[in-house]
Amino acid sequence: MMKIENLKASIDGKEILRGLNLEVKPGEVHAIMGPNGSGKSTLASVLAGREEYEVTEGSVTFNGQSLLDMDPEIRAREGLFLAFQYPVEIPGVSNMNFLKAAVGEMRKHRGQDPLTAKEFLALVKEKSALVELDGQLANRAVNEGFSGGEKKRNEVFQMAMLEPTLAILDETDSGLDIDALRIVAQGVNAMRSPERSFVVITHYQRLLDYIVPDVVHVLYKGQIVKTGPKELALELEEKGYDWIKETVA
Amino acid sequence: METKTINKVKEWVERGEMGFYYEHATQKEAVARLLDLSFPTTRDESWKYTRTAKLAQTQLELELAEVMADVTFEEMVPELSIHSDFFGVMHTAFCNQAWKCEVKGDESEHTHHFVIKNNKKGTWMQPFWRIEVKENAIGKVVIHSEMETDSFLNGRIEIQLAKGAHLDIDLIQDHADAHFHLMNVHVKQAEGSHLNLVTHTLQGGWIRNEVKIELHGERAHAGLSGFYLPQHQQLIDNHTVVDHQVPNCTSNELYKGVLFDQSRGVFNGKVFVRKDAQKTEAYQSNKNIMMSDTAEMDSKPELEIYADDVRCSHGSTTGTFDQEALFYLRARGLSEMGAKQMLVSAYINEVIDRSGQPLVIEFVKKTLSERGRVIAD
Repeated sequence: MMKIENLKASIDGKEILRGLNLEVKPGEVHAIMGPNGSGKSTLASVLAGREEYEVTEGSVTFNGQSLLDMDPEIRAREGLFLAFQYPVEIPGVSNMNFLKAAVGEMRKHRGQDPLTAKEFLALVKEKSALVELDGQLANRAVNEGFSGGEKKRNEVFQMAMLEPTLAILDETDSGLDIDALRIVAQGVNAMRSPERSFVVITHYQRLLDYIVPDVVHVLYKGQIVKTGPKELALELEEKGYDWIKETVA
Repeated sequence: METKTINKVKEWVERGEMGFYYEHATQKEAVARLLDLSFPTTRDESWKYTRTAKLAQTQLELELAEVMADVTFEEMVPELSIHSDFFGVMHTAFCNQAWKCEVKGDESEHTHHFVIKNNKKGTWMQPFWRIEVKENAIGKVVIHSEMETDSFLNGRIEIQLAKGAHLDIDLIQDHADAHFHLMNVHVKQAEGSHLNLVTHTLQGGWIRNEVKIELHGERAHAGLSGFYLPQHQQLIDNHTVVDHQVPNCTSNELYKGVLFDQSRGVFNGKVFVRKDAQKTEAYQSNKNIMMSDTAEMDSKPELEIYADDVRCSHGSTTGTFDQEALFYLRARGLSEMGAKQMLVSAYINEVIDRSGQPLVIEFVKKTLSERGRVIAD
């Protein structure tokens, strides 16, 4: 699915990722945990194709192709999805029109016929129910005036509409109360399948009670310094990140 | 400044060939005055950002424009008056076409539609419109200019709104790059009247809109808005004046632009609140997005308030696209171009949607979308 080898990336001349390796196989759920400033969000940004980050070394192979050579929209059409830590409010652009355009691009890229208006609406209805997103929200401007929880549910709703093969959830749990967390996790779990993989980036173990990972990695100073089964997350929660810092030092 | 336009006027006058269209004393007086005035240049404060040199040097012949109008626009002999500015005087001197549209009752189901065209090179047109909405009447007007070739239109629209009158008026401007267009709109509003003016500048090489609104009756409301999407080397200029002369009136102004390539935009919005105009509420906003490093926007909001119990605000922002929004859309699979078009539509739809005429909204959005300037709703 995706293989990251010796990835080094910097922003404004400051190196954040310092030789990161990670392999995600189809159907797997990987959690990436780490203290603030360890490079978690940088990793998500580099994978999604944010231009402000400069990749200085290494490679990312996604379904046999070089991911880093693709524009952000091509990455998306090839099946990569980034759930934003801070979903952007876009006044004037309706959620529906935006999704219609996005779904249209995906289908065109995959050589599928465009959906009819009726099929599209049926899909919206089915997928919005997955994250208990009110039909009214779908008709509003993208994320405008949404609460923190609604924004994150909207991310998962979009993910469900676009059916990626690899989804990266960037701190999707931040700013969520327990109910919203449960709903978001439920949406993600409903999408788990042998062909679809997830990279769940989080600071806290809490989300992993709901989205149970196959593998847990600890990111520290731009490298993965520890990898283990899901129990590693509990251990981190208990001992804190200082434990990792000491281990690595 | 010696210009072809002024030389032309002198030539006509000397040869005694002028032949005023309406045998008005004011037309002769205006010509005499025009000969003493100089053609505006960027040295004049109100023309500081709007180049006129090319217009001054364009060879033009006074001609009639082609029109297709709703029967409610009747040809008339205009009551011309002498204005102070060069193009105003020029308009009075050589006005050669005039129409009047009167709205007497609730005509909200009817659109008074006027299309003005020109496809003959080197023509100079001086049309005049007078729109009167009588007491408590409701009118809907569209003035659609489709100018296809090298030419100059110096037009004037006078609007009179009687007590309690309501007018939705949309100007749709769709011009070739070689057309120069100056449209002066002067509105006088009586007590309790309501104006909703939207200027849709689809495209044009050189456009200057001068809108002046006088609120002389209490509880009148003026809404004025406009958008512009200049590209290439086009120039779009909106000069507006809202004059609150009496208490308890409101005005709400919104102009938005997206500027591409080496285009230029000018916005100058003056709001006057006279000494007696207490309880005035006046809002003005001009917002612009620069799509290229070589485009230029000059925005100047001006508030002059002489009353003390008023609520007024004005704001002007000029910046680049929200890069986060652009990335967000691309991260969902939209092409860079598609994402930009979507953001441009969202940006200017706020203005288009202010129109009080659903058919205009539909037409403008469809036209822009067909031309690839925006993405359809």
